[in-house]
Amino acid sequence: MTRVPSVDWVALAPVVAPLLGVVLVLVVDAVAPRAARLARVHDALAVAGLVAAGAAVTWLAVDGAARSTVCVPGGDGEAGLVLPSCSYVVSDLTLTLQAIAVVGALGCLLLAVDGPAAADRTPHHVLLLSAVAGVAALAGARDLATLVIALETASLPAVGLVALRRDAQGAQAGITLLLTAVASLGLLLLGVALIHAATGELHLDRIATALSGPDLSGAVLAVAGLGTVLGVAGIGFKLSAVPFHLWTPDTYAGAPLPIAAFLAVVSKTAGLAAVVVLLALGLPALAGSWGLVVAVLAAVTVTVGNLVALRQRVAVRLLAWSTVAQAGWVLLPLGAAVDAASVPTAVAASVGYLVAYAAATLAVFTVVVLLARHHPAGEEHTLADYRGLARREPVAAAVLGFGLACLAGLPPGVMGLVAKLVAVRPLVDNGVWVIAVIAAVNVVLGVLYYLRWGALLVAAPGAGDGAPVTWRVRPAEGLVLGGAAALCVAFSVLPQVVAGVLPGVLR
Amino acid sequence: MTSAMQLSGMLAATDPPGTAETALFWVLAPVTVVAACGLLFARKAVHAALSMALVMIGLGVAYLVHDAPFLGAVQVFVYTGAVMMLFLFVVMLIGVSAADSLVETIKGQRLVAVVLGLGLVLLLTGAISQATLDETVGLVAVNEDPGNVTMIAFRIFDDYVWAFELTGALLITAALGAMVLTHRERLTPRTTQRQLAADRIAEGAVKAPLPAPGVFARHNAVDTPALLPDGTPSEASVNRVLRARGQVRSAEETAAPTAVIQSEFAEPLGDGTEEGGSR
Repeated sequence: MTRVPSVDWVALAPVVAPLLGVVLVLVVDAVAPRAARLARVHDALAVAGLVAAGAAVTWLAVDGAARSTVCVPGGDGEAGLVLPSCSYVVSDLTLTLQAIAVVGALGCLLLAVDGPAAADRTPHHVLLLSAVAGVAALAGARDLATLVIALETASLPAVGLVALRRDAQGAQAGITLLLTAVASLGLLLLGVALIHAATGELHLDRIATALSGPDLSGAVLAVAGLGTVLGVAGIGFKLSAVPFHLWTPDTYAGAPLPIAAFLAVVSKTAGLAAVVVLLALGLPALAGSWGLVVAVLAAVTVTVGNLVALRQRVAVRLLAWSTVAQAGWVLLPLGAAVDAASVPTAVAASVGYLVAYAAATLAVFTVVVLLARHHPAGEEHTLADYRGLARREPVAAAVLGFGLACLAGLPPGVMGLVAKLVAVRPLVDNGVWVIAVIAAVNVVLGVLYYLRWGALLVAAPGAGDGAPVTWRVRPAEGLVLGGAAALCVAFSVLPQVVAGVLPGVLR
Repeated sequence: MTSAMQLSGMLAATDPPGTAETALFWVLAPVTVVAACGLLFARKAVHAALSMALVMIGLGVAYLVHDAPFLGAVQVFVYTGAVMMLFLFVVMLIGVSAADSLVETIKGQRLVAVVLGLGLVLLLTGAISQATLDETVGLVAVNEDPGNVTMIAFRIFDDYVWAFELTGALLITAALGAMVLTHRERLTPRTTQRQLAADRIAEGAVKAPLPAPGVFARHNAVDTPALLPDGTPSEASVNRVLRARGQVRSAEETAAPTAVIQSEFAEPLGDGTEEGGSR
């Protein structure tokens, strides 16, 4: 009895490309350590890894073939024919999440390349690329083992990235994140183990089948439900959903700003990918129970995030709390799932919101990075420092204003408006009125602080300000600024992109 | 031994275990339980670690007896051999104090820990008590085709090869992340030899060695000043602590015989050899 595993490397390319980048960066560093001339080689290799991953995602999307790899064979089971199950599946869901992660990471890499990463190129690039590989693997993971390991690969490097700011605050932020990661991993493992104990399967499609049987005992459902709740709690840490959000403000404030952007975009993508893969693909049969849990979690998250963000004065802390609120928005549609049939629309709305959120957040963070670099207070600068930015730096102020409008869901940020509508629609369709009303109230709360920030941009400069520093935007930063702005505008002109992700079957 | 293991393997789980197995169990189990209690109640971290090693060896032997040679070997190699020894190294290197901490670093931590711990116990009891087991098939059937170890290999290198490979990436990342976390950046550039030498000149202290006892010395004790070539005592040659205590021998006392020595130099072949000058 010999078996040879068949691995479809083309399907795995979005994961393997960043990992190849990791290896190459490490090899260059090992061959020529501390060679200042090779700094650009490191940068180029890291960018190439991400671009290759993006190209692979694009090619797979254009190719459109349904690919799946690393499968266990099916056969005749006790309860009839068992289909083969795969650990990695290329689908619309996989490719969309991978695209968000790769584009977001590329933006963060370019922002960091001459900033905080300049002193520690090798660790920064390696950690960033492995995190992207983790998200890419997570998006395609279709069994519990791969899910857990991919989620760790996606979230653990963030600890190292945060600690790259070599001072007490950075170390504090890194340790906070590390402890959070360990605690959340414990919860997730416990949850996953209970799900496995209830069903006896590791592959998500088989778990779904096992839990959708007609004659399930209440005990099995109870154990699986318990596992689901614990699993959601574990992933809630990564998404920084309330009450698992306490690490967020300190970590964002303690991390280098491009890394905070990375946490806001790529790590959030990882969290949503884990939630969607686990709940929508593995446990659609329990949608009635987890829908309620997620709905409450999302409503609390949105409300707490917005209320605390209202009181923030430091830009980074406001952004941190705003990402908490946005994480609630991302989760909100999933709370509308009441049965297995309503899951696909909920997932589509969630991922659609994530697309809009990622583009707008990247745009806002880029301007915040630029201002922090040209301000004496650095990362600690407050909202008041944005007063009159539109007169000094009209382009950056326009991008920031547009990004804020998108996050708030106000016109001209049509992208954000459509994303919010898409997010609330499943709630209305399925009659989850309480949550829908809470969401509506939170739109107003969000508008309050985003608008206050936006209004400062065009306000007359205060008397006490010193001579304004002329900004020198580095080419890489300009590229991110332009790219993020272009994405926001494009999605606002063509909002059907945000509204229409994942048209096909959820797999 | 092998036949006993075969015998116990062939018996279905409902049958009573063989005599040898029972005897071994009653030897192993108390040792393991006592060691486990030692792990819980030992006051020194090293004792706890050693107790844990004993627990693991006991479990490893139990696995071997129950026809799980691979699991038994891995248990001993990996856990006892690698993990526990690593623990021991760490404990011995950083020297954990055995004193109990009576201060709660986080307020209300103990209460929350007790509540959460009870919750976990309830949760696990609830979940495990719901478990139903299929009818046991016996070890022989399990080990028959393709065998236990082979099956593990199939699981790792075929069914879950992707997760296994990803684990590699995760471990590399973790190692690198640990290095980033523990790496301590120098705040100032390392001082070079050249810089050190320049600093010493700049501070203006005596650069030459302290004066040696000198050719006129009658004593080389530390409380005796060295005699310079002109016969005067050198204050710099005596430790300043001795000088502060007033324990320095007087300069006259040592300087007085200089004339004698000079006269000895003038007549080197004289008969005054008792002073050791001819050596």
